[in-house]
Amino acid sequence: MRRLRGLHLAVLVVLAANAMALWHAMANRKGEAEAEIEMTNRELSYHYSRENSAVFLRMNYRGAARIEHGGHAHYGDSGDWITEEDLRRIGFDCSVAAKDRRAHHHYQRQPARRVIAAFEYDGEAWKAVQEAMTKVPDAPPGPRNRGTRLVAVGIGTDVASMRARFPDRSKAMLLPAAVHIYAGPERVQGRLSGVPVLIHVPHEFSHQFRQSALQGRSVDDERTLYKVRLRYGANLEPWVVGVEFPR
Amino acid sequence: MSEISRHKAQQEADRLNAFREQWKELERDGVVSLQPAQREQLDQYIDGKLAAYRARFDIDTTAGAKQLSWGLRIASTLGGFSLCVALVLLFQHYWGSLSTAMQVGIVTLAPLAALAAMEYAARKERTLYFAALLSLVAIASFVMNLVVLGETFNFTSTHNAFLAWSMFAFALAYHYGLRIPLVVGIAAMLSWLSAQVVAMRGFHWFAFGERPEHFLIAGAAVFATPLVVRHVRNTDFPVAYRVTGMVAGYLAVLALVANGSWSYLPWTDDTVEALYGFVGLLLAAGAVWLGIVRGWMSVVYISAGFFTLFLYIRLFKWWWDWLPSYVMFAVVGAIAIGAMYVLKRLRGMMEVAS
Repeated sequence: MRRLRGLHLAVLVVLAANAMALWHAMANRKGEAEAEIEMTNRELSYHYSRENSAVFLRMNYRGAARIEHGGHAHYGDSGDWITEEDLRRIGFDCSVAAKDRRAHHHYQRQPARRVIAAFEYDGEAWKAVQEAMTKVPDAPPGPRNRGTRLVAVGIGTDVASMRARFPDRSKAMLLPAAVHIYAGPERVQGRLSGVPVLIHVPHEFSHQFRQSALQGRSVDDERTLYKVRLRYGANLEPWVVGVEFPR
Repeated sequence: MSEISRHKAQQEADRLNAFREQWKELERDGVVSLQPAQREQLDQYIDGKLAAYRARFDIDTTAGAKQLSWGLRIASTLGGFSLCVALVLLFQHYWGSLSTAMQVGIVTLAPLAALAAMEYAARKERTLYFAALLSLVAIASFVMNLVVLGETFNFTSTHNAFLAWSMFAFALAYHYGLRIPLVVGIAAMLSWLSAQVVAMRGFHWFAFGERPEHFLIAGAAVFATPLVVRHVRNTDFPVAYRVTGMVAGYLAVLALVANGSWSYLPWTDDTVEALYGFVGLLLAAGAVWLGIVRGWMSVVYISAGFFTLFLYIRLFKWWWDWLPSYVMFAVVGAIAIGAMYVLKRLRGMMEVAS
């Protein structure tokens, strides 16, 4: 009996960890949804993998403020939309000016902070991005209506205050993320990272993805190749509740 | 003999074999001489002891068997790693075609099945080569278990998984007396501790590697653990604690020498990097001294290696920019010769100490 004690402990650790994980998943899905949003292939791109049979969708988002590189739309998130006030509010020490010679050292020493980030789908922020695109000299007409319409719009430290700022649960989702700070050329800047962008598609919805030849053309395709309805729970973790492939 | 561990039994057998060889040499040189009856009595005594150890612990009692055991150890470690990779790839290949309930069931049962196989192997084979191999499979299964659950339910990543993996690995290490799970357990525990401190200060846990001082302090604590916790049954564990703690500490110092901005110290990066360069040298020199005094060979060898590394880094930082490269390499060569001389002296001192 004594000989088995360590083995019992190992079994107990496995069972306890699994029970906690399942309880966590249940707690997330219990009660009213924190947000429920339907997005398309432009926001949720599918990448086929020969080695991995599971289907994952990658959530694409862009920053609220946009940088142009040679007249091309920048699809990513440069973090330009994060203000110094935002950075101060989430706990960073912004006491050194960006142009101060100590700035690089001062900001490099502050690790990424935990935040709740808000993302708005096909709303005012996306319209502002489109409008900004029209002002780019010699910009081709295409990019204005291409790419993701999901825009990172705000950061904060708690869910309640963020939900108060972005109350539309069918347009704005809140996700846990991290923000890095650095001294930019003009001002102190932030950069969003650690956003949980991979979304697992359960077995009941995944077979159509594997059958379709969707690989590599989801993000920039203006057509709707598929729609995915995501529900976000109490822990801000999503799950797929519906997938539709328009004919 | 009931108090003795397998590790101790192996040491005892090595000593008995060395004694018999030495005695034979002394007899050949005419220094001592035994009557045939006495020699037979001595051989019977040594053979009896060796047979008893072999029967109880399945240890190596000849040089050939020892060499084969090393081969077995290497094969079991490589085999363990390969099986882990195979297991993960196999699951990845098929898990998309399984329902969520099936996925959860399979990944939960995988570490438990590996544990059952490990227990069976340990009961069948006292040398524990297969159990060691299966311990790696069990740990990999448990890592896969929590990773897959996280992916299936889109969990936000958490550092607490390190704690679960660490506890699991420690349980295996102490139950079976295996060092590989012990090292995995210590590494996971160090990662969890660092991430926990980072998270408690409001930062994102994934910045845990950007605070090497956590690993430096925790590594020192791991190094000192055998001084506080006695290992009567697993007599080879103190070495694993010392080596893992020491390597964690040295790697932390190396990281701080390379990037001073990761330090808590309020000084400029250059100052911090220079300071930790000296700290590394002092720590390594102190550890070499401690290793000689306490007879910890692994501490002496590893610390001597890191001392040389810290010294070279310091020299490059000092001289690379203003010395011609041929002079620089000549200096490095001269220092290597100096280091060889010092290490030779250390070797002599260790022999005297032992």
